Amino acid sequence: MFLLSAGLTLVFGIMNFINLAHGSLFMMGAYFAASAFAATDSFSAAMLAGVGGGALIGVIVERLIVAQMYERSHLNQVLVTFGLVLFFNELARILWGAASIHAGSPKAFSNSVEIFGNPYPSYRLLIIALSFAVATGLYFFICHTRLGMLVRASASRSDIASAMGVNVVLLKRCLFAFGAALAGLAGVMAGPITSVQPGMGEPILIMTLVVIVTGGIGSIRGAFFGAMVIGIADTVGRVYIPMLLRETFERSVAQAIGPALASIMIYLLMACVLALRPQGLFPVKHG
Amino acid sequence: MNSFLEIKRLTKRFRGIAASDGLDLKVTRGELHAIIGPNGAGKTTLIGQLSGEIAPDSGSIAFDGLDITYMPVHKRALLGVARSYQITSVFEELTVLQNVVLSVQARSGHSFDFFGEVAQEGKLLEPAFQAIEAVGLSESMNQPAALLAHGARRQLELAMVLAMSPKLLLLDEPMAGTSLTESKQIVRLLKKLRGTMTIVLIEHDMQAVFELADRISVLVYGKVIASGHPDEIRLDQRVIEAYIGEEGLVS
Amino acid sequence: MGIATFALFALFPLFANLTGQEYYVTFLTRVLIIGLAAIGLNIALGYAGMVSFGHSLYIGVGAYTVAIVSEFGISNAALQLGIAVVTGVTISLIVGLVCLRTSGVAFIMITLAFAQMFYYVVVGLKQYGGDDGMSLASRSTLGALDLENNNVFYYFCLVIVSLVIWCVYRMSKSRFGSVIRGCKLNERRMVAIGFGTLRYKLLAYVISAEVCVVAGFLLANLAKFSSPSYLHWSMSGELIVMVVLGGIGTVLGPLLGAISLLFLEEVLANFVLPLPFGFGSFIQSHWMLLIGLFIVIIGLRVQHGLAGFINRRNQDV
Repeated sequence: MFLLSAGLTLVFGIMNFINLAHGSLFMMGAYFAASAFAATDSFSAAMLAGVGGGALIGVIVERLIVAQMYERSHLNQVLVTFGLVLFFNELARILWGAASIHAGSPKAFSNSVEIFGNPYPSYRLLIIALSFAVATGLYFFICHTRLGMLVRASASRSDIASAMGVNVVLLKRCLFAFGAALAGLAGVMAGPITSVQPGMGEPILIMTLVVIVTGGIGSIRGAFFGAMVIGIADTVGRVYIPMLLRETFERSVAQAIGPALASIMIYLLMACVLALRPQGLFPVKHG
Repeated sequence: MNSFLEIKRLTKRFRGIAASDGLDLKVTRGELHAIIGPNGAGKTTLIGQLSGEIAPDSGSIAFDGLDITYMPVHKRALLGVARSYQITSVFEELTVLQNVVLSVQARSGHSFDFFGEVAQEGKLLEPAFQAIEAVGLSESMNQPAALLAHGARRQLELAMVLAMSPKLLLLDEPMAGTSLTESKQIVRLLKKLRGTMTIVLIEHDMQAVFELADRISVLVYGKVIASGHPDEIRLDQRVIEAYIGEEGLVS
Repeated sequence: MGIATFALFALFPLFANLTGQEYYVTFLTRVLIIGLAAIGLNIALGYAGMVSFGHSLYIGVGAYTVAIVSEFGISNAALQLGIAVVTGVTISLIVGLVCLRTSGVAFIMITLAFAQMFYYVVVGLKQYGGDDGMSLASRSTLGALDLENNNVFYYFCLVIVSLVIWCVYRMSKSRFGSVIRGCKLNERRMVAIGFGTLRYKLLAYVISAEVCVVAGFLLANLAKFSSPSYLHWSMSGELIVMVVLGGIGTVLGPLLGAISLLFLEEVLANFVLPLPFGFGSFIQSHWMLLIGLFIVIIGLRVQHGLAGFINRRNQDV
């Protein structure tokens, strides 16, 4: 989840471009990976296919469409990327069929590891480790390298950056591609534990939006902590709310509203955060 | 002397740099008070805090006896504090008339009316016509704002604040980028307004400043280093020092 | 132009019944209803500049209120609508207040998130159909009007839509209209002039939501069915497409947009175009692909929409 958020917050906050098709990139990554795995039985190959494929599609989309859209209003950006989502969903349906396909997980990680006495699938540990790695990498990059500074400079004043000789267009292109690659990566990793089917990108995308908004648009820290907070809230909600309800109300009521309430926990949380701090928990400071 | 506008120890920092540094200023009712100073002195920040768009870190602003330090922008506008912008900020797609009518509409009761027709409301049109005529834009009344020349846009900017029937007019470089004739026109207009309302004028055009101002305050690095009658300011040593390198002060 | 459109709509059912194509009466009713929702969205989006990706939520409110309330035995149209509107106002006030604390990109995302939240709520309500939706035993009753008759229902919708259009027209020229237009063009200036913009934007949002609630009410009645799909974000998206395609901030635009998009979808999905290489049938089974591309192109190119285009034509003449 964090991977997606990071990529998305990069694109949103820094390039001020709203990309609904990010979920589609996620989906394509998952599909590419699944097919590659089915063909080669190697997870590394699958990962390459997923990330590479995601980035590739990102570049193509950027070249053809997105590049014209940076200056347009958010409304148009929404429209264009919405159209893209529909397009990609249908494309997936054509290429891979409407039913979900199987995505294999790496053999090395198909066992469980003992954590605090509970068995925890090592694959999920891999995901967590990977997210951490990406998070620290990104943070380091943005805050401590020269290139990262260029990125931040272009974000706040692209006209000045341009005048200073930075090729802003190329930078944006790379950022977008990188964001797409992250989405692809997220798709690859998510494939084995969720169902790979057309339209899988959107519910995740919307959750990602919740994460970003709660954490603060444009901030990596926000994406990271936002993902954690939302993730925890979601799990807690799903597990504990039904239990709580069952104890306080009679069974039928709990049955009726339990699942509904659990799934909306994260949105309520977002609403509360926004009501108190509209810029999110870790907003990017603008000088 | 009863101060109409009293600013005490106003402080505003942006990332460690004090745009307003314990600023003190008094403006009397009905006077035209000009604020001058080198670029970066914090003039626009000051206007922003006066209009309410920027919240100060500390200090106080009293308007006609009322503490407005943290009052929201639109409430101040309704009290009679009108601000014009250095970079023209109008409603591009609307005509000059429609722009000014909106200014009038804000203080003309509520706007929760769904079935009347704004274009027919004499109550709104009359004051709008007057304001437009005062700035000299009557010919372009039905032109979309986006098509106006730069000088005309500055005039529209002025018409919009005039239509607010202000008690305190905050003008942020109204003559920026205007031609000689246009700035002379604005000076003429301001001379007419002098006395009917209190005006705080930020300007770089020194000739206009000395022609118009009842009193001048000089702002340097967020502080007022001198404040008084134009003749005093002209000869003030500190002021001359602050302007070394800037032309036009010794006229 | 409005009169011409109205006349066309008014005469259509006669034509349809004569040629035995009764299905199209229902189809056109659907067009009217979705068009109504688009008109509603336009109030918030086109006039006030608030890009809400979550208006499908309010269609859902309208539809589900009818469905649930009729389960409890209330079938009077006025009563049902009244309950729906009250629910709608409550929800839109709360949602609006939270969302309006943000702007720009964040606003779009939050409206989307809220709509999704309600989608999950509705899906989670198992005894009201959950994923499959719930059906209504019969349409609402309204005095002597037999709404079960498709033709009667059609005219009922037509009257409502016309009424709303007239109201929007009046609103656009009124004080309220000019205030929200100002908010869209330059909110900073509006505040500086002395308008408390939040209350006006909120009211515009609530009104916009209520129109969608009415549309939802009609939609549930039309199909005698209420489903979570009405709240799906893709419905919100399609509404936005219709508004942009038809003309943002115009009175008839959204309706034109609705007509165009729905007709296009209908044609693509149901007719095999005579194209070589079997393209025809390919398109028919995967028409969503084309619609997606169509929407992309609209986003890239359309400035003033169909209504704007027609207005220009009239001005040149």
